[in-house]
Amino acid sequence: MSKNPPSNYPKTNLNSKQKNQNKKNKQTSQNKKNNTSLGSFNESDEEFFDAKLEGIEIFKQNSSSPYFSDSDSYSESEESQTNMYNENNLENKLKNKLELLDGETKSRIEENVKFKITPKSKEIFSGFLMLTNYRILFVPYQFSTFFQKYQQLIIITLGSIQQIVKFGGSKKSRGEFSYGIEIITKEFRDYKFYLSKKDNKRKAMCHQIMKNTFVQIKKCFAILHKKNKKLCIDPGWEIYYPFFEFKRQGLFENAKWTISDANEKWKICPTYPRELPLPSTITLKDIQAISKFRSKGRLPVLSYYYRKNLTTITRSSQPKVGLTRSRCIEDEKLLKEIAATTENDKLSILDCRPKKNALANMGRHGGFEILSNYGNCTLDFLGIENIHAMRDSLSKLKTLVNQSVVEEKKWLSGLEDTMWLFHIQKILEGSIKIVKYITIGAISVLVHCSDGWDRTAQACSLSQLIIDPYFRTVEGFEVLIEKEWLGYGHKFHQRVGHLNKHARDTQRSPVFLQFIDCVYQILRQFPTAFEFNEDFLIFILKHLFSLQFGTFLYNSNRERLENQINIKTFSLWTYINENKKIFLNSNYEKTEEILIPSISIRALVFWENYYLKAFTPFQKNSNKKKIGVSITNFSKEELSDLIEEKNSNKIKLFQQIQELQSQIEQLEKKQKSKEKIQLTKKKQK
Amino acid sequence: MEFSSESDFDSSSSNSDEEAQKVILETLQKLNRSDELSSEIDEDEFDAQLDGIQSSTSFKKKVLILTKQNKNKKENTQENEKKQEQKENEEKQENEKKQENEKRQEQKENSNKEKEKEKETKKETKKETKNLERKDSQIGDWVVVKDKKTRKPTIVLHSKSNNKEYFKGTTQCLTYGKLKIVFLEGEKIEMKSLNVTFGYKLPQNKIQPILGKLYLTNYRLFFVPNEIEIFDNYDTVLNPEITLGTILRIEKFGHQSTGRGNFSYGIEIYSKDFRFYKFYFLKKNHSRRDIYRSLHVKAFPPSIELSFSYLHKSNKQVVDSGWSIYDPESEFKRQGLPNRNWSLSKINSKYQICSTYPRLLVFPKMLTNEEIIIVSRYRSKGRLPTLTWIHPKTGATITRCSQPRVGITQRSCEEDQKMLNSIFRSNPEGTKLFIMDCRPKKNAMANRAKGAGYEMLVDYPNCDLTFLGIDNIHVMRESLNRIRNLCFQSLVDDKKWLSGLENTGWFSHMEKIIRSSVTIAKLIENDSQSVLVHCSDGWDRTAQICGLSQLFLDPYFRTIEGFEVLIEKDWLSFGHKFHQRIGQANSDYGNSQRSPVFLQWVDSVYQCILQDPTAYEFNENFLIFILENLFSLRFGTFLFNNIQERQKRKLSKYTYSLWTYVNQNTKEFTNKNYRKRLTPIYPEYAIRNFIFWDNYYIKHLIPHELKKKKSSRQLDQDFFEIELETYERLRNEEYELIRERERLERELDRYEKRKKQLKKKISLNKAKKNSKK
Repeated sequence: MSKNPPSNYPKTNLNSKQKNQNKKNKQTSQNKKNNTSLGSFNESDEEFFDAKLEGIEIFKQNSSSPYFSDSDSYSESEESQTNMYNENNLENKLKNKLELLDGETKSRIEENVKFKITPKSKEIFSGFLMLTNYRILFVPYQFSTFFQKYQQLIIITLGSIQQIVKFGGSKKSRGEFSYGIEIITKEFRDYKFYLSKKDNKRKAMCHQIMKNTFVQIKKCFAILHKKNKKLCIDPGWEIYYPFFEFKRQGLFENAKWTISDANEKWKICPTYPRELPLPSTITLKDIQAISKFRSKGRLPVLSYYYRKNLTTITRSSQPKVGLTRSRCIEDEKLLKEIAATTENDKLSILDCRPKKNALANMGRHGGFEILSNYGNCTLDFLGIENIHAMRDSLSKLKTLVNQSVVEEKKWLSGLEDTMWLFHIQKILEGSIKIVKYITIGAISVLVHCSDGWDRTAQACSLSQLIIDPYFRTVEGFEVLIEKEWLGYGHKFHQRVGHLNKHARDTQRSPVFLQFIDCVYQILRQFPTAFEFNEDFLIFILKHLFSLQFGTFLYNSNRERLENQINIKTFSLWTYINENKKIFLNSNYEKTEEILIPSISIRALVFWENYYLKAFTPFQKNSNKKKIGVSITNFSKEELSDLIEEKNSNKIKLFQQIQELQSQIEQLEKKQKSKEKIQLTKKKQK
Repeated sequence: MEFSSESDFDSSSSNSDEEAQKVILETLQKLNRSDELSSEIDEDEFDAQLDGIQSSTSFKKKVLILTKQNKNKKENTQENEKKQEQKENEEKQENEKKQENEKRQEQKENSNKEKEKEKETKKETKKETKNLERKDSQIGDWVVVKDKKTRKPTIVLHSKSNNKEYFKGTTQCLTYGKLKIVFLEGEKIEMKSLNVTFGYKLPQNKIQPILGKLYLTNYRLFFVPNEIEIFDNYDTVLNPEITLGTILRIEKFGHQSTGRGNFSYGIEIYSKDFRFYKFYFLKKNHSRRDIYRSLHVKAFPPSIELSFSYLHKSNKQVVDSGWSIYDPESEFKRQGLPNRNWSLSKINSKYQICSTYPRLLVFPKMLTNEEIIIVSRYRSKGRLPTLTWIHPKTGATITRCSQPRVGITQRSCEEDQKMLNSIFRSNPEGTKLFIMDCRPKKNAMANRAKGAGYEMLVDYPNCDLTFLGIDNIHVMRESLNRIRNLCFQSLVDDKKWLSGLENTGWFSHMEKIIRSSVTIAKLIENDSQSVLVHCSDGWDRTAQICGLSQLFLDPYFRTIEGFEVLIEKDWLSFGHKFHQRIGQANSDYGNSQRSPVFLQWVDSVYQCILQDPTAYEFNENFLIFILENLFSLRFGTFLFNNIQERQKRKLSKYTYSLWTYVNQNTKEFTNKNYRKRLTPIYPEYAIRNFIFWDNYYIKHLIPHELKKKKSSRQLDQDFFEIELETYERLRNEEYELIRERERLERELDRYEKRKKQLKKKISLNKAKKNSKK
């Protein structure tokens, strides 16, 4: 495995593109090999990328690393016999990990930090914390034993940090493990690091982490990441063009629909894209009037055109009906026109909220369509709870997960109490309802909730995923996210809480995570119908928080464009499309079928591979199976390397055995000779 | 297997008359066999001819005559044999009579069948072959012919599959459009009742009444709707079909005169695998009476000999191959026994010592026969400690037994202590013998009041006792009943599914079982310690634990053949009381001896399969098939309580073995992703890793939910197959090498210890000498 440690590479020449590209390929392949050495790396995806981007600044101290040579414990562990044949690989692995990403700078290294693998485990690992402007990395001194136990290094991307809590005062607290910092993350595991009380480094450290984490958005890592690069738009940003997508759906075959450019300068609705697909009979004046009637100006626009039935999914925000029961003739006209595009001249309005909430919104100048004003429409409520309920549910789930790792007593009823699966059930139920309307019922659908960017996005995108096989491919799924989530203005910045110091901000909510969980549920029930695998979903979620890519920055397309995010940062899709291989479902079989999943609680599962990934590390050689990820979870290159490794192990083992045998023989000889001597002595006696 | 072992054992017996008779019998049987072989060939030819329909009729007639002659011969020999048997065992005349009656019935049936055959062949030849369209349907091995012109229900008779041993002869098949019902060998329609309504459950929990006919055969009950087109809308899977053995209870509801409405009069059928069917009858002429009575009689016959498993096999002379899949001697030989510490003992060859144990037992060599007999008296039901598995390299063992009869007086038994001590000594690397009492400590204590209990560690210096805390059969039965209720409830409302599932306790019971098996496996593999497992009687929980830990340890048991051997060894031969626990042919559904112990074990195996998709050669279908036929009374494998009863009744002759069928249809039971792995497997046992086995428990209730999920398609078809295999191979080799290294290291240790001891001795000697001086 140690054929080509990264430090052997010549330094990259930033100016010559060709060389860079060559190097890119080389390094990716090399790094892939390096990954395999541990055979169990969860974070391996990161390295692919590390290597892929040009101009890697190699962590030079590697060869003469102070951390390795200085720490005695490390060298001791190297001598330990049990892991002799794994040691080299691990070392490489670590070196790889310590490589900095492009634009990443070290800011602080904290020695002698202690860490427990699980909160109640007795084993304590001491190591050093490395803080960069992108992540916190914990490197145990005895990493070989650490790897055996945990199978992965601890890497916390700064973007995923929600809060930093100091525990234990230096004077009050007693005992060895009562003083340190706890990093509370947006994902499912919180990390506790124990510090020694003597040196008062904690304050400075906390300060440094805070300083690195909560920066201004213009200084966030996604932007620094691309800073050394030629500023151009990378291909991932161009994956979605509304025109092409609607053409693919077949919208232009139907003369009843056009794409209006009324929102060209975001005058109608700042959270919508510039292109608004609308019935061709709607004029600019109408549009202006409707946008005033709908809350936040989010008027009904088309999101999916189902070619077979000529039915459509349109989405909007709630109408500003209010207690005065105000009406808008243009809005009524628009809905009528939308209904008129189908054969049976009907439209079903699906309000994602529970009816109670919708009624309550009436008091806040919102509400729902009053059917008497809308001729041939029907209204139905999908009963999906709001972002606050979802946030509560998630935090319950998080505490449950953390509890159950320690002691698993009431797992099932605890899971029931979190309501997480019930929320997922509701969302899936609603999406299936939409699907049934537009396919079997041949009735067009208008979906909205309060603002039309949370629940509406979930329901619309899921129903499209169920109907259209294109969205079940890697490219299609990217397009779907770009279209429904990024395009129609899901407020990622607020919901994820990027760079937000306030841990209890009520605008945070796991809406997108929930959507991905729903996708996972469908994937689990139809493991061959998707081109991507479970790793793909996990990877997207990881970089939802990581801030390595600009894709999920800011709240809307407008903000992203105005801040030139597509020039200043890399797109997540660029990376995914270049490393498509590891995200492909090895069992993919294309079907045109409409995949209606079972939504009984019996059929829904807790997504262990994601929620528990930081607790019970996923072992490549072991049992658990990710959907669509090739069973043994190796790529071909990885596998050949593993075979090599095993072969070398075999040789070593042979040698060891021979040594042992010779030792035993010697001992036997000695003993025999001794016995002889004794015998002769006896005889002599 | 049976014959050879019989002769072996009996050679030691003193009754020379019996011996002579048996020799005669055997020769007779051999003769029969040769006869049968010839007849088989004939029949095969005959079938081959039938397959090509255009062949000449004269040839067929000839063949028919030939086969008839053969059959007559067979019958004669059968009768001869019977007479001799009667002389042999005069005590069991009653049983014999019953059997004879059956046989007569069968003979009649056979002759009837042959008549039918002839008729049908004539018909076939008369008809123009164009009317018949041949279709090779996918049901088992059957070839189903369907009449294309007259789409109406017709009974079509046709020839059979390629299997030589099993399912010989012609079969019947009912085809109703989409619905096909294939009759098994020996199955015949007993009764048919018209105008029955079945409440068909729709996905939305509404019930749609379907009018049709209810058929009762000697093997199962099934329903055929009048309008077959209904199946274009719904699943054929949902059509009620239930084997008689699976019926738990039959209840009448409503009264002919008093009930109101059309659907208030009929029968309810509850099954052992969570199904529940309601059939409504017309309120006229006691329309349900006949079918109720005959169903009751057929489902709960007075003795098992009258059940379908005895009718299923037409050729009662041949022992089919499945019965000889487990040969104790060769299995122990595979494990490396006998060796210098262990010997195979034939002390139980006539079941004198323990009636529920097999004939061949493995004991430590140090014990004499007399001592063994004393130990057997000390253990409850005479189930003394005996070996079931030995680690091929380290010599660590799994032994199993029942509880010791300690009692309140704290009786002790020196021979038992010697037994355990010698078990401990047989493992050179063990530091202690780990006694695993499967019960909770409370229960074990309570058992002391009943004169039994657990080992007093004072008497056993080299032992260590742990309680695994697995609850008894009654708790398990209760737990399963709760699951049954939950399943029915969840069809209506699954809001409380998860907490309901937790309340059943099924998962936590299973967690305990898997956890303790894993700890045992780790003890044996990593620490090379010997383990003794027992519970109260040593046939329920002990079987579960021993079976699972062997599955984790030994790669052989993870193959199909090995799994069969494992069930034969640890469940059937060591006397799990299948008859009582399942309640075969017994209408007493509330019997407290019933318990889903085996089902629970299979469920645990399923959880392990889920976690490791490449490690097991068999798949989920295999487990489901085993469970289905655990109840169905189609095969003889799970009949009766112990091996003694099974052998007495000569089940291997009168019934088919389940394994025969499995081994001939391995294709549908093999896991396509299986890769041989030598390393032991330690599955995870946290409750969150468990998945409710809906493919088994509720497949009859909601097939529309599960149909899509069950895509058992081969994964990674051409995905670097060769490399993977080499990798898997290398891993195995590495494992073996590591083992070897460990062994050598241990040896070194021992040498060094000896060195130290010697040095100590020398120094002591010197000191003595000095002191003397």
